[in-house]
Amino acid sequence: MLGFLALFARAIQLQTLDATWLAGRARDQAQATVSLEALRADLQDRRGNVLAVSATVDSVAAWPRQISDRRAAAAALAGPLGLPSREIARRLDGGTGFVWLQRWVAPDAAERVSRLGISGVQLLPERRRFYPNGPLAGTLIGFADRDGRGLSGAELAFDRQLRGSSAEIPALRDARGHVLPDVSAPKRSRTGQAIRLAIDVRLQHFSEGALEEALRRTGARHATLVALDPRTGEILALAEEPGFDPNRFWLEDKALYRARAFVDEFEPGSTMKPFSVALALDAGVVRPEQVFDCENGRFRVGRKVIRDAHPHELLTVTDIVRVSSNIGAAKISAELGARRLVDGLRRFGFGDLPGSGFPGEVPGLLRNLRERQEIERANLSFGQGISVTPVQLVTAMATFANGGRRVTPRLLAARSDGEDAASEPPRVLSEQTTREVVAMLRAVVESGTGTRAALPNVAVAGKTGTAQKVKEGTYSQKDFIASFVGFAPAERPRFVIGVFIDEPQGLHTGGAVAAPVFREVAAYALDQLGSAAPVPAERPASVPVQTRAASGGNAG
Amino acid sequence: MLNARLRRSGPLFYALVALALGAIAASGGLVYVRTRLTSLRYELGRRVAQEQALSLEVERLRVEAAALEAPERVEPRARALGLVYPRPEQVVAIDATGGAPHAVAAGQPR
Repeated sequence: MLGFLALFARAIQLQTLDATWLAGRARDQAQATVSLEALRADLQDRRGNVLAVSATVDSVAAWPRQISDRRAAAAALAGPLGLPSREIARRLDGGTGFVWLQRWVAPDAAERVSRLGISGVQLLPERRRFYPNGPLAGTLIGFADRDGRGLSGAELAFDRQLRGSSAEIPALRDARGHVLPDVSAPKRSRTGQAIRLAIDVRLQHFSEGALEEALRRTGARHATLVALDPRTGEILALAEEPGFDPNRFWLEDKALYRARAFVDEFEPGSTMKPFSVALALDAGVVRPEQVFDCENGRFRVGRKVIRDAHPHELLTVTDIVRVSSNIGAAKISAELGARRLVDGLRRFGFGDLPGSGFPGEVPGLLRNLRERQEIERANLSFGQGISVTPVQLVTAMATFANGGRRVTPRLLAARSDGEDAASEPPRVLSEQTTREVVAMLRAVVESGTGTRAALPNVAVAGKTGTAQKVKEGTYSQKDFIASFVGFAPAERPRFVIGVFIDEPQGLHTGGAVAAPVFREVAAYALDQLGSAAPVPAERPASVPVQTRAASGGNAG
Repeated sequence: MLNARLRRSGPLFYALVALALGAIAASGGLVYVRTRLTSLRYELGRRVAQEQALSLEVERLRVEAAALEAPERVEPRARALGLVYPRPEQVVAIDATGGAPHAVAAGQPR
């Protein structure tokens, strides 16, 4: 009876007096949390091809204090991890509480490590970012670090959208440690939003191949190519050679991370002439057929002498652009005046951020000039005393290809339903002036300095540039940036392509070095983009142009 | 004598018996529900683990598929099959509205 009373009293104590405290302890012991980390979303090209994708992979971690025989463990792990056992032993000896032996191991290696069953060595799942195309468009895509944070390029520009959000599910743990998820409305993690870039992976691949070949042929230090849709501003390809592989960014030269097309400024040289001539035409101070005396290749402005690469006497405005006369461009700019020249160039976007949203893009440099600064005005008319980025120059050239309206370069693909179409781009030039300049740019390719950019069956318009690089404060006589910026088909441009070759050896003019690359890539772009690329619906300036390969051709 | 007592307290007795049976049935039901709930939790845990394993497999296959589609990998195979890129002279721009191919004033590149 006494025993029964004692049991009864204890039951009363447990069920009433200590009930709250005991329930709390039980809850604390059993409660667990299942963490659902959001998967970083894909980066895709305009056709939906994957450029960056995340997946869970295993990393090998060790707790050295829990390993009884470190030498034996190191010897056993050497094979699966592909590391010398001495190196593994060094990490185990140097570690205190926890060390990574190898992160992001291949699935078969993880399986072999797991089979070893070494106490104190464990596989931990981690998220890894894969770039399945290797170095393709590396500088544009950029990379995300081991913790899934975008550090450069599009990975950084769209980091917030790509990341998504994590979630935690409350759960219970049984006596054996099994986790039992809470059945009441589990909260799900939100995967980031996939981003569709405007680039076309095939055009990108072809462009990089063409640049690689150009580097091999010319011995240049670096080459950049930018292709842009002049109606939408979409960047269709952005190639840099040499590039880098974002899959192994930590092993690559950090200088290669830089997307030079957005962040490196250079003096453009003669590719600026169409802009200064266009402004003079638009202001009505010159006419295309107006003749200027080009002084047989030598012309004094103030205390400086301007020279042409080839001497000319009388040239029309069209011929000045066609043969790329510095003296002619300087004389035309004198008709326009320094202020109107600078103000007009600003309307083309020079000296201002392009607005693509690419991290670190720079505005270039365009100084204000006074009317009496004659030599500076003359230099500016043929592309000296101004610095631009390749993206700026290609975007400005797109104005001629878009009927005189300047688009903003964009990294993202335009939606096919046209919902994200911005309002009509600002007009920089009249339609009449634009037609006149396009005719001059066609003349450059037909019979001027850019004949090597010509396509046999498609009209091409463009301008060559051979800019002296500024080294130690003076213009170098041996280091140049050769460029060609043009568009095709000239009547209804589908794309603008700029090719920039940095320090070519031997032949160094834009017409000899950059124009052939343009020709090659333009032919491929016409074949690939003419009919395949989605054209935004209901876009006023949209004029679809299809291409076909003539008989005997096989699309690659 | 016992029968007499039972007869006297008949309604109360039957009510108590019914209450006891009800309580036993309710307890049994509660035990069953709690056991079932725990069992479902284990099942859910297994399903969640299964879903995670399948998700990992999907992730791995997506990476593999993307790598297989890479132009760097496809191009050599296409070349081996005899496919080539179109040469510039093989490309003609045509008007989508059915117009003639664009005339070209340019001669052959020099």
